[in-house]
This record gives sequence, structure tokens and C-alpha cells, in this order.
Amino acid sequence: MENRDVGPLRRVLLVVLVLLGTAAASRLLASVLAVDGLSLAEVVILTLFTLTFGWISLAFWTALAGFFLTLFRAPGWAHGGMLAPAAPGPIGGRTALVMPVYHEDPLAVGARLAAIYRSLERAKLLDSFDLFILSDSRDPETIREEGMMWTRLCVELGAKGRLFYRNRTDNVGRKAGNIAEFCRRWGGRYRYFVCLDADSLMSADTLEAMVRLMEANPTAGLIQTTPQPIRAVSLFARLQQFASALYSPIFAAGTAFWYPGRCNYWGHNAIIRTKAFMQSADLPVLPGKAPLGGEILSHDFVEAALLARAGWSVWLVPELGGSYEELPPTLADYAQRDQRWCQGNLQHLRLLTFKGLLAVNRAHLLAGAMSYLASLFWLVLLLIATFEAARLEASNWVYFPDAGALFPVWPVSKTFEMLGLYSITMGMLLLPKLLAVLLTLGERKRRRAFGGFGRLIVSSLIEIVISVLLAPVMMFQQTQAVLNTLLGRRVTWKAQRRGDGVESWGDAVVNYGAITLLGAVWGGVAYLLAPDFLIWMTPVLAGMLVAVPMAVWLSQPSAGAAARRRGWFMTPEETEPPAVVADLAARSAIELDGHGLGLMRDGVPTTPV
Amino acid sequence: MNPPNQTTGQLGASETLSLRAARARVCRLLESFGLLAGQQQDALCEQLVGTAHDLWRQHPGLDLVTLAEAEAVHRLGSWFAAVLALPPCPDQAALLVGRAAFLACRGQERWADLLLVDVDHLPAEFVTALREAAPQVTPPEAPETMVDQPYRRWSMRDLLWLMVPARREQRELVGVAPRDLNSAS
Repeated sequence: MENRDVGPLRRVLLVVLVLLGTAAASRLLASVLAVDGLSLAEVVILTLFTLTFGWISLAFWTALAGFFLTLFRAPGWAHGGMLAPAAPGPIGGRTALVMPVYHEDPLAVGARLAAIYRSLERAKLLDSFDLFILSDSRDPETIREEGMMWTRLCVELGAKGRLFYRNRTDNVGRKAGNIAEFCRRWGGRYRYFVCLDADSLMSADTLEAMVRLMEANPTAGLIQTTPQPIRAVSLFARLQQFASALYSPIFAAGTAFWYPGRCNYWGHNAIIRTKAFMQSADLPVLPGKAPLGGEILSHDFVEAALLARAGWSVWLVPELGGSYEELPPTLADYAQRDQRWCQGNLQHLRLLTFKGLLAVNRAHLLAGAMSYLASLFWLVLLLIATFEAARLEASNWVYFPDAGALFPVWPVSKTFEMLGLYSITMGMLLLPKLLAVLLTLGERKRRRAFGGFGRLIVSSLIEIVISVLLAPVMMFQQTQAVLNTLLGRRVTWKAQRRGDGVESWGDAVVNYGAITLLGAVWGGVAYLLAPDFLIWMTPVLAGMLVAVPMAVWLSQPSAGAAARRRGWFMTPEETEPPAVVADLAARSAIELDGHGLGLMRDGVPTTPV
Repeated sequence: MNPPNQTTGQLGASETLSLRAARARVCRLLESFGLLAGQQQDALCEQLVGTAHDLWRQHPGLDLVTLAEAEAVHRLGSWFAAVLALPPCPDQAALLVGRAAFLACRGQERWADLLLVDVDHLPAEFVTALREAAPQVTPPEAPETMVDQPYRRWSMRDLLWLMVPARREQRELVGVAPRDLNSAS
């Protein structure tokens, strides 16, 4: 399709909107702070506020654009007429579905692959796809179980010649290296490959649509779907799953709108043009030592940037649907994943001056780093604000600054401006959620899929309260991750826990006890030195004080099950599971009962093969 | 573990425990072929563990369980490689293909007693069925090259001009355009 590229114009508009909003808010804060002149601390506050406000402003405008696209049911309009519709007719050639695994539970991986395979079988698309298990596991027992899983799948599914297994003896380049090795060995066989994660699930319809879109758009290098979380068990995961199902559609639509053909790659559930990838997206090795040097840890943003540098377009197509993933079950697991992502995203800062990258991709890289740096900025902002509030409280107002003055200088109340600023900030944070809820309430089928009017309202309110309480805990965790990276502490490459898992009281005290203690001290100091300021700090301090019991409670599968019984935090994938999700659930239940792939679990085939 | 009593030939307590663990490990491997506990497994297990045990008596410093498993993997792997006429490959790889083929042709129901039987004495029907059922672990390779993307940063001069040279750099750095690539493919 030869339509004019509307992306640059849209992005100029986005930048203008973000800059104008941020400038106005910063000016308002400056007017509050500058009553008696700006101190150094106030200058720092203003700077950090400007950065963090700009950050939330970007998210706000993304959500707003997505809201209107969804409201007018015009998801395709996001692509600016530059993405041709899926090509009809038979699919030529085969596409590889590659699932890199590293010390994952082979049973769970097998169940997901089987569900994808059966979906392809039902859609009569088996002749168009090959499945690869690309193992980087080193533990002999895991390798043995992976081999058994492959055997079982080949036999049970009749997947001979369509399902392949490869174990790499060295792990050079981690996941990106694993994919690159696949490309080097089998890249010539496949025009496209779909990159999956170990927890990915995709329907045949979506896979077919992705291939057809690639066929219709010869300059498309990569098409990304928006994976929806599924199968959450713990309350923490259920909350994340609910939030993602409810809010992410407008954010995804907004992202697609602002960056048509220049979107990002999220590392999985995306289709990639093999030759484009091999010609342009081999990751460079950064000079210096890890964590900021050496191998690139987070490959996805960089690969998207390299594809764009070579002239290939990278699309986010949220309307594709049929794309799923799973979530970490506890706050601690989430933090562990965040630590890894943080290190990778901060490493991207070194790529900002990489020759030839497009400005939009440099912005993506910067935004990725900013998503973690914002936490550090926020913490420093709060600490300095507390200090400054205490200083102002302690200082006496000088009514006659000039010796010979006849009239006093009265202190000027800026409470109205502060409340206004607070409301604007909270509005920008909460309005996207409100808009997403309104959109859902306005659509009968979707409203029912979230449990109905009342349950959706209750679930949204609880989610907002808990996310407010979790925000300071995440701020500390992300700040710690940033500091660890800046101090040169490397993260180890560990398998991610998925499904269920519980955080014990002991673990929670170790993980969050210091945050609670700090919250108590912070609150005490604020109460003694700046009691008026304490009110502003209440949401932050409340989250810090309840961090330990909250982490334990949220990790409980029983709490998640209780919420589900009440119909809270339901998602469309739960109320009306798509065939591929239902298939996975049924298969997993059979396995857990020991009637299915017993062979893989303990070596005993419990049903005739 | 202490070696057996050379005078009486009786097994020590730790040796008995190790033998039991070795049998359990080998049985577990055989179970993955769908062989049921009892007669189907016992003879094979004794055969494999017995060989490992003899070897261990010569090298008592080794771990009998590891030795038994390694022996089982080697014997089964090389047997499957011979029956399936596989090109030279590690025992584990041959075992992987062999097990899948054995299960796919319902070997555990029809030919359980043929495992590890001398290759020359195997019924043709079994060999044919096994070969037909054998899956490929990986497809034939079609090697391609990943084009190196070296890390080159903007110089200070570039930084002064900031984004201006970006478009020119693109043309210089990228040797192949999407359309060229597509027409080539």
C-alpha cells in the first residue's frame, strides 16, 4: 500500500500535546514553589516533577487516542491506511513457530504447544506451520523431561515432521542468541517465523491472519500482537490479568495510532520476516562489561529499531486478538522479572547514540528506560518534598523583610493551586482507567464478559485501590532494580515462575519489611515536622505500611479463587474462553489429575499411548 | 561407597542401597518407553544394571546410579541407532528418536520383548514399523547468514548536528532495502 506516511505528523502532534500539558503543569507548580523564591531543593523538585509528569502525560495521550479509536470502532484507522488488509488465497510456504525455553516446566510448555497444534489442526492449517522447541536448558534432568515431552507430543498429536526439538549446548546470547541460532540453521526454510515465549499461546486464526498480513505488506518486517494474560490463579495475578484485559486495549490502540509502522517489538507473540531479521537485526555486542555493556539483555526493542533502521516497518495490530501469555504469580516474582527488564532497558540508554537508528526508535528506547527511572525520580521527588515541607514548617515567616517597610508581606496561600495540580495529576493517572471502564460498560457483550455491571464496577474500584497501595512498593522495587544496575550488579538468568506460587510471611518480611519500616519512620518524621504534608503523603505511606500483609494476601491462590467465586476480576478469556484457551485449560487439568502426560511427569504412562 | 566384601562376595549395606537406586533409575528410563513394571521391565533392568554393576566393581570410586543410567542410555541409544540406521549421533539423540518411534508404533504393546535384542535377529516387521514411525528431531538445515550489525556510535561531531545525519546514515549503513530483498526472495 502506497499511502502517505501519517506517522511523523501524528507524532509531532503527540509531542506538542505532551509538551504543552507538561509545561502548563510545571508552570503551575513553579508558581506554587516560587512564592518566596526558588531554593535549590525546589528546583530539583520542579525538574523531577516535569520529567515524571511528562511521562504520565505520554501515557495519558496514548490512552485517550486509543479510547476514541475504540469508541468509534475504528481500530484499522490507527494504521493510517498504510497496512494493507490480510491477503486472501492459499498461504504459500511454511511458517515456523519457535518457542525458546530455558528451564521451564516441560509439562506446561507441552500443554501450550499441544493447544496451539490442535488449534492449527482444527483450522486445517497444519501444512502451513512447523513448531520448534528451542531449548537452552542445561540441567540434564530438565533436558531429559523436555525430550520426553517432545516424544509424547509427537506421538499423541501425530506431529511427526511438524514438531521439532533442539537443545543448545551453549547459551551464547541467551534468548536472542537462541533465536539467531535457529535463523542461521533453518532460516532458509521459512519466509516468516513467529516468536513465542514459553508461556505464549496463540490461536490458529491469529497465526493465519499474521501470515496473510505479512504477505499483503511486503515491507512489513514484524507484526506484533497484544498478548492478553490468562490462567491467573493468585489474587495478584488475577488483578494484573483483569487490569490488562480492561485497560490495555485502549493503550494498545493508542500506541498503534501514534506509531503506525514504527511500533515496538515486545519479544514474543509476533511474526517476523526471516530475511529482514537476518539482514538487519543481528544484535551488536556493547563495549564494556555487564550489566550496561556486553550482550544486549533486552533484545526486542533493539531488534525493532534495527529492522526500522533497514527500512522495514514494525506494526502493532491490537485488533488481531487470539494472543495470550501468563503472569508472575506474586509480587516477588514480578519484582524478579522487573529486575531483569530494568537492567535490559537501562542498557538501552547506551544505544541512544547508535548510528542510523530512527528518532522514533531512540524515543522508544528512552521510554523503556524511563519506565524504570521514573520510579527513582518519584522517590527522590517525595523525599525532597518531605524535606522541603519540614524546612518551610520550621522557618518563621518574615512579615517585614525590609527594615523600613510600612506594610507587612502576608504569606500567600497556594492551597487551591496545589489541589488543582494534585487533581490534574491524579486525573491523568486515573482517567484512562475510567474511560476504559466506561467503554466496557457501554458495550453489552463486553460488559457481561467482565462479570456484568455491578461486578465490573466493584472489581475496578478494588483494582484501583490495590494498584494505588502497590504503587509505592513497586516504586521501591524498581528503584532498587535501577540502583542495582547502576552499581553494576548483574542479574542471573533464571527461569520465570508462572502459574501459582505463594509468598510466605517470612519471605514477605525479608522482601518488604524494610519498606514498611521506612514508611513508619517517614510517616513519623512527617507527622512531627510537617503534619500538613502528611495528608499528601497518605496514599504512599499507606502502601508502604501494609506492604508485608498485602504481598502475602495477594499471593494466595485461595484469595484469587474467592474473588473468582464472587465474579470479581473476571475477563473475557475466562467467561467465554476461546477454543485454544479452553483446550489448554482442559489439557492442563487432565495432566494435573495424572491422567494425561504422566509419562512426562514421572516416567509412567498412565493412559495407553 | 565401599566395595563388596572380596572374601564372602556379599554386598555391603551401602552397595545394596546403591543397587536399589540404580534399578529405580533404570526402571524409570524404561517406563518412559511405556514398559510396565514387572516382567516387561525386570529382565532388561537386570541386564543393564548388571553390566553397570560389573563395571563398578572394577571402578568402585564411581557412582553406581550414574553409571547404570549412562550404561542404559548408551545401550539403548546405540541399539536404536543401529535399528533405525541413523547417521552417527550422540546416544541421547538416538534415544530421543528411538523412543518416539517405539511409542508411535505401539512398541510397548506389540514388541516390548524385542528391546535390546540382537539387531540381526529382529523381525523385519518390527524394524519396518519402527523406521516408518521415527520422527525427525530437527528438519534438514537450510543455513543462512545473520549479517553483522556492529555497534557504531555517533561521534561528538555527529552529536553536534544531532538528528540531521540520520537519514544519510541509514542509506550508508543499510546495504539492502526491503523491496530489493522481497524481489530477491
